[in-house]
Amino acid sequence: MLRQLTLINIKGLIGRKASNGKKKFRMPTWLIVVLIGVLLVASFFTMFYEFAKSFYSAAMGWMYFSILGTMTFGFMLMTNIAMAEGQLFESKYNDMLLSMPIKSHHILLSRLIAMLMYDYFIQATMLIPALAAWIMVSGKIGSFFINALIVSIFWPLLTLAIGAIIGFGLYRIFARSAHKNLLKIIMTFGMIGLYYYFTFKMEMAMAEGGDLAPIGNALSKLKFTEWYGKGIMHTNVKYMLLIIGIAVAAIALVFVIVNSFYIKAITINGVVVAKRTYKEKPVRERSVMAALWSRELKRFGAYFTYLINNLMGIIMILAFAVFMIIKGGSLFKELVDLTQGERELVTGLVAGGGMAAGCFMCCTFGVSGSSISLEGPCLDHLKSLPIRTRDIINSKLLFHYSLIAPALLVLSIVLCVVCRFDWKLAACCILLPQAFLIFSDMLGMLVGLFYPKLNWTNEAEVVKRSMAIMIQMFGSMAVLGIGIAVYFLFAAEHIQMDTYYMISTAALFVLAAILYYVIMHFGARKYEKLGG
Amino acid sequence: MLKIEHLTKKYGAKVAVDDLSLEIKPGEIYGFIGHNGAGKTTTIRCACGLLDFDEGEITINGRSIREDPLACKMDFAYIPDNPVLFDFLSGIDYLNFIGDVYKVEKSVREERIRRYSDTFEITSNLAQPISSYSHGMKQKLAIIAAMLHEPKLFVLDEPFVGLDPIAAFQFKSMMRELCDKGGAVFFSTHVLDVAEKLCDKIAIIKNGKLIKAGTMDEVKGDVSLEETFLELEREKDA
Repeated sequence: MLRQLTLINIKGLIGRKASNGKKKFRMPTWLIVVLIGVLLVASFFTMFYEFAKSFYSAAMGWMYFSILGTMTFGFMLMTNIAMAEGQLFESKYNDMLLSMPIKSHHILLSRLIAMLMYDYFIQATMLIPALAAWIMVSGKIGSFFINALIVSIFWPLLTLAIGAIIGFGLYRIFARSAHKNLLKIIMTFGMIGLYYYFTFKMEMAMAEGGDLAPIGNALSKLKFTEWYGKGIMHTNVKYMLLIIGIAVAAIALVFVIVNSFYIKAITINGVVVAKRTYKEKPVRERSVMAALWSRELKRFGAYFTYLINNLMGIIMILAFAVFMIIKGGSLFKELVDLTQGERELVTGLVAGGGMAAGCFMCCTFGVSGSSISLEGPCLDHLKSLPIRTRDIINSKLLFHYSLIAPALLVLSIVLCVVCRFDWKLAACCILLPQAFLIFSDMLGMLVGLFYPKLNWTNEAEVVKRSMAIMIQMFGSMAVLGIGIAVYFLFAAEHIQMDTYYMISTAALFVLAAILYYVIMHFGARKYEKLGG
Repeated sequence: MLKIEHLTKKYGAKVAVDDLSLEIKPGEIYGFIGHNGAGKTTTIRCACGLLDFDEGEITINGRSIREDPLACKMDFAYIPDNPVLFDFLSGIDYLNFIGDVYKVEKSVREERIRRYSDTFEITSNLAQPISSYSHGMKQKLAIIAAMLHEPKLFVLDEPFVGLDPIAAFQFKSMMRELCDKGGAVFFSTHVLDVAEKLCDKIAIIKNGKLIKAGTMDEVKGDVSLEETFLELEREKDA
């Protein structure tokens, strides 16, 4: 039974479902996992290679592995905390499983094992590139390799134990809170901020003359990571055994503790749901369009994955704008100096780069692509109301646009002011990203209408993994890439940069208009047939 | 009020509804009964414009649901058997959304929300997200939303499932009140006792075909509706 339960949990974690018999194109789950894995490994390798060079030349290998330990620990812990609520405690299958003759400790254990498998995957995406980078830099495979493999078997047990306990605490807090998603967002961004602070500090320390002593001191204070680094690098058996022993003891202790109140924790009676009592307030009459827009906004705030996935794009755009305010001027000056006074060229390139960055972040914003699918079982209800199809589609398009357009506009204005663009370039800098955003919005809606997924059980299926979202994201990126490539391959020698930006803006508006026509004619008909 | 003429709906080769004709007149509570998979829900979904059909015509107050769906939808309210509402909204947000869609005036809306939510005793829960509601509470909220624009026609699919006895009683009174004011109710049910006590007219459907329709007396005669239904089922099987 434990084996079956564990397999079901792992399948659930990677989003695999039984086929419904319909022949429909679906991207295989293994392919998605491999693609994500390759992307992560490649990006971590670049980072670890730089670290390895610095630490190897300073003969401080243990610190390198300590950093690896800290990073794997941090990532796995973040994942465990984030997953604990849904995977360990608030699973929708709790009632069904508890009604069956299954021992509660089997339910808990199977869920912990599934999370552990996920941890191994995360660890591998960092461990593999880190070991590869060290082997390449040092030119040999030493005992550190075997040591790292042994420690990596037990290291996730420690994060799992801590993650499960913190996750349970948060689960109780969230259950009592009326602002569950707000708390989660603060926590997520706090963790992301911490990660960037950590890597930024590392890179600064290495860039500033390679003085690694402060890092060493900091890592020595964190006993576990010191043991991890020295255990692996110096084959310090005592430290390795300490890690293994503590990890095994921690997970066993957490298992015993959580198991002792598990049934109480996962049943409704164990949770005090935050209750808001209704107090009558005057209502506000709105147009149908405003009501639909507001409904989209409420949904945006209600589904955490939907919210965090799309909020990231907005935050990144604003963060980039802040970065340009702080560093833009000096960066611009440095570039002008570097090109020996080619101010016009630098202006054009900075404008292009800034716009491309803004557009790229728009690609990660998938509201319109997932909007139709998110209606799910409510689609029939929406269709039973006297609302025109075009109003429903327009409200979704408008919602996508209105959420990210202000951030994009802020970025454009910052670029214009910081880099002092002339009026032509400024107009392009404001209009081109907006045109791209509208195009991406339309593309998302179109693919959302043609590849809807209405029978989802968790919004992550449509927000992260659906065909529509993939096409919207990669399709928009492809258009952006083609635009950049065409300029450098064919147009750079023949036309001015600002002329190219104007042509691109016009082309994007035309493309968006064509897509809008297709949506309103063929897409609307497709919508009317959905759900039946 | 609602006229279904020669309705045929096919799912591929399977005929779900076969040449079905019904007319629900103002003032009538019309019950629609049949076994599971008989075609009740398909007929109701076609009548509400949720499902396109292959042949026939459906009109609501003389307007075709195919040609003028928005005007038709303004006239009726539909409550499905399993009310899947927008669970990311709170109860009050949902009612306001419905009020905006049906363009219910502010003061009228406030008064009706107050009245109906008090009637169904869910006023204190209106600030809660719908996702936290029980099935019965969702059903009550769906009824309040349906009453918000005081439709001329109610189209209901198994409306009493999940309702507590008091709410079911209140809702039956509302249905009768609506009909007394010249409205009409068309609903499907498996609960034959309810249908017998509540309906003015009844239609029995089997395998997509209408096998009997008329006033309660015409359909059941001197025996109970349950006996009539079982007898008709047996006859057709034979």
